[in-house]
Amino acid sequence: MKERDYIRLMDLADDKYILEADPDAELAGRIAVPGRRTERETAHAKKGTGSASRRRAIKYSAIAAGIAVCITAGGLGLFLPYEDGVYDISAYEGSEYYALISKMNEYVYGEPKSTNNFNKIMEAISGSDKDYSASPDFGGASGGDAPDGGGEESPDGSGGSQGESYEEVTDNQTEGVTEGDLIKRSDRYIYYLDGNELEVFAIDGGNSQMVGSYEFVSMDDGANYRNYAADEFYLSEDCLTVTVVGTYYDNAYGYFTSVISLDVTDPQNIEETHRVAVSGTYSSSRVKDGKLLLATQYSASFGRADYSDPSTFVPQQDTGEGLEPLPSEGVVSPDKLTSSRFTVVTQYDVATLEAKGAAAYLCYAGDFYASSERLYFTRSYTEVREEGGCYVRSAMTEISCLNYGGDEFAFEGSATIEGKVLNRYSMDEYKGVLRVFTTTRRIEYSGGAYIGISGGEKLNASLYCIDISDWSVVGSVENFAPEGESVRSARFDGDTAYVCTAVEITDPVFFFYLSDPENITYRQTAVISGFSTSLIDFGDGCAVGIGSDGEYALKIEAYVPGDTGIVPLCAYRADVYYSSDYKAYYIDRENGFIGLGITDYSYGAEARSRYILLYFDGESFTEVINTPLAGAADCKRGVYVDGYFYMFGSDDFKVAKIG
Amino acid sequence: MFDSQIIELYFARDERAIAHTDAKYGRYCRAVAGRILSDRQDAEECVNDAYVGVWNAIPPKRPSNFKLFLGVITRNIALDRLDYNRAKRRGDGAEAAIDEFIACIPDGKRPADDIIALREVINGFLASLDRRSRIIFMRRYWYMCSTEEIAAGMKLTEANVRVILHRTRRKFAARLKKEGFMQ
Repeated sequence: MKERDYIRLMDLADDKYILEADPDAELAGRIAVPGRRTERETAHAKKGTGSASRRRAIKYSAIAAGIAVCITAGGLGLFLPYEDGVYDISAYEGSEYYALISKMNEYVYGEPKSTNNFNKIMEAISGSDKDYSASPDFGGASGGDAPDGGGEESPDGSGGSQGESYEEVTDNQTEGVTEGDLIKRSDRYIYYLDGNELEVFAIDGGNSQMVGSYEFVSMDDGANYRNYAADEFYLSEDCLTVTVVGTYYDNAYGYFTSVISLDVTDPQNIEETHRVAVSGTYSSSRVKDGKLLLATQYSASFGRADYSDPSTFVPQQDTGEGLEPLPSEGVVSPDKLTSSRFTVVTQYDVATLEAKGAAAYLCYAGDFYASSERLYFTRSYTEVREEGGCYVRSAMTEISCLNYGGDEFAFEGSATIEGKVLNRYSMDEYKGVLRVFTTTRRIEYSGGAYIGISGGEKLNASLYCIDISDWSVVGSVENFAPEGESVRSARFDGDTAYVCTAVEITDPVFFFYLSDPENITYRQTAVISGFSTSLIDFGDGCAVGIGSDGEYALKIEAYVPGDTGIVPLCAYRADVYYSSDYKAYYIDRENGFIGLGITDYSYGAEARSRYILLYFDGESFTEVINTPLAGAADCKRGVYVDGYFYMFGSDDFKVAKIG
Repeated sequence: MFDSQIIELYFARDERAIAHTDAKYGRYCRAVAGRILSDRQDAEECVNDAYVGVWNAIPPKRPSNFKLFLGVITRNIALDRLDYNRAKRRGDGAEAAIDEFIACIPDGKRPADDIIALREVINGFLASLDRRSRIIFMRRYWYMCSTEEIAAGMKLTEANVRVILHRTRRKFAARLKKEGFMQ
């Protein structure tokens, strides 16, 4: 055990001892600290001047005065009306960002929802202040379900160095749209991003070894580039270039995401060739047709913005000639802001990192769903409306579309639907129709607004089909799940879709027929144990769910549509922990392999971090590999090549011969 | 603003959650980081990193004690930064505190990965202390307060605090030896 670990041992102290010793609590007078008397206390004890009754009178008067002050202060605190202090921004009417400044000003200084603190407390008690404007967990690299036909083989591209050809490893959601990952490969090498180090391994069966590496070093020069963290990377189709995206912190401007190109022609002499940066932390990216689409999340401090300086409230981009704020025409925002966080999407030529376009979505979720030509961004908010004599607060989602198929970004339309979108796998564009699964959340109030609550919050699952030619909803199935359930995972496959809903542990899987959006039908399983956090299409209508059940922490189960419902076919169960990050799974449909990193506490410390590979023959699961592999489950990767399975972890690499 | 309201802002992914966190606990976090790191800029960065850590942790976490949750995250980030820095330079009170603590805990015959047993030993030891000694010990090794700060807060002399710390460390070492965490 390292010395540093002992320092951490004090984190094992119970919270009550930590709180007991809080120096701030003592200063606030909330802890009577045992100790010696102060000099003042000693002098006071010695004083003893005046009669006891006079001292009691003074004491009681002081208490009464204190109570009176408290009541007055409390009354003022509760009932003093809020000020509406909107800042005068007329001086900025000539700014290209004036529309945005107006919204920011209203957001920061505008009329408060409640008139005073008393009303605010009453609204909180009644639940009428509930705001569903939470961005959905729309993280491209975490959670979510299987894509619709990913895992494609590489095109027969021009060879890379000495005739290398690209081989896809990542199970991409959309065919032809490549996603970043920690692992990529050619026919000769496997590339793995181990923390801040890119490692290159020669593919040579049991003799495989690392033949080159490149380390990204944080330039702690006191001014810039602190704490750089590489997130994902791409390998070019010619296998000559690796493009790495990562996040770093700049002292002056905050967090940035950088894109760095590396020449990997010679794995033993990897060199940086290009570098660009954009505001915000890394969220997601895609590569298609030589374009890199990058999404970052930039949190502006609207309350401290200088309206005369756009760099203080607008995301910036550095294309090699210094930081420049994004132009105002590229900023999309709702009429009323609900947050100060931008999702910034930029486009680059993968080969040269030349900037090709930029847009910023204010108040939107960080990740996006990418179809072959369009990006879809979601924004959650709360709507209050009257329905049948009741007031209803409902979670809503606005979906906005950005077309990236042309030379430049083009804003297309948007649609609003009820509910919240779980993640990008809950959306799919097919034959001009955008299909979306949402979790609906409603609170109904009987009588007038905010008076009484009818039955509390109601959860359910819905499906919407949107015609992207005019952004109208052409079909829907609302509230198809048992009351109280939410969407946990979804997977689209052409005219069909699987979705798993759940409350806690026992819940159904639904199978939808979507060939006619105006006449959608579906089937479901009976109540089954567990729920899936990811659903994977394994062909022939078969879906595999990776999730957990009430007894085992990991359950991998196959489903097929039966005559009357969805039928669980077979399952693999293990009392182990696993990652819910879809990219951490190795999916090989051709060979029937499913691989993932796990933590098995039945082993000792040295062996509990492991990797398993399962073989699915269409009828059952067989465990083929179960071996120690160091590192966090999220970061472990595996790939099968010509009879060998290669596994990568934190400073760990293993090769296993398969049958 | 109540902590529960701030936490709801995190769940709503409302950026104002961070502003309210900073307004209410910024000074506290800077104090936690500042006691560990001698460099004010490092401490400020750690606090900023802690806010990011909290933003990423909530949801799904819903801490029962928000201030403590913040303090733990800030402390861990500051300790990581101190580890990074201490290869280059000697610090002040925080590094002395770590060295003293480490001196109590050399390698033991039982793997210290048995965290559950160790947690019980540590908390059992803390429970056995009188309140004053326990507060002094926690302020020194969790909050990384200097002996001067502890003495001022506890209305004791600095010499008295050092004696109490020395005696408590000896008892701690004896307990760890008895439980097999020390040879």
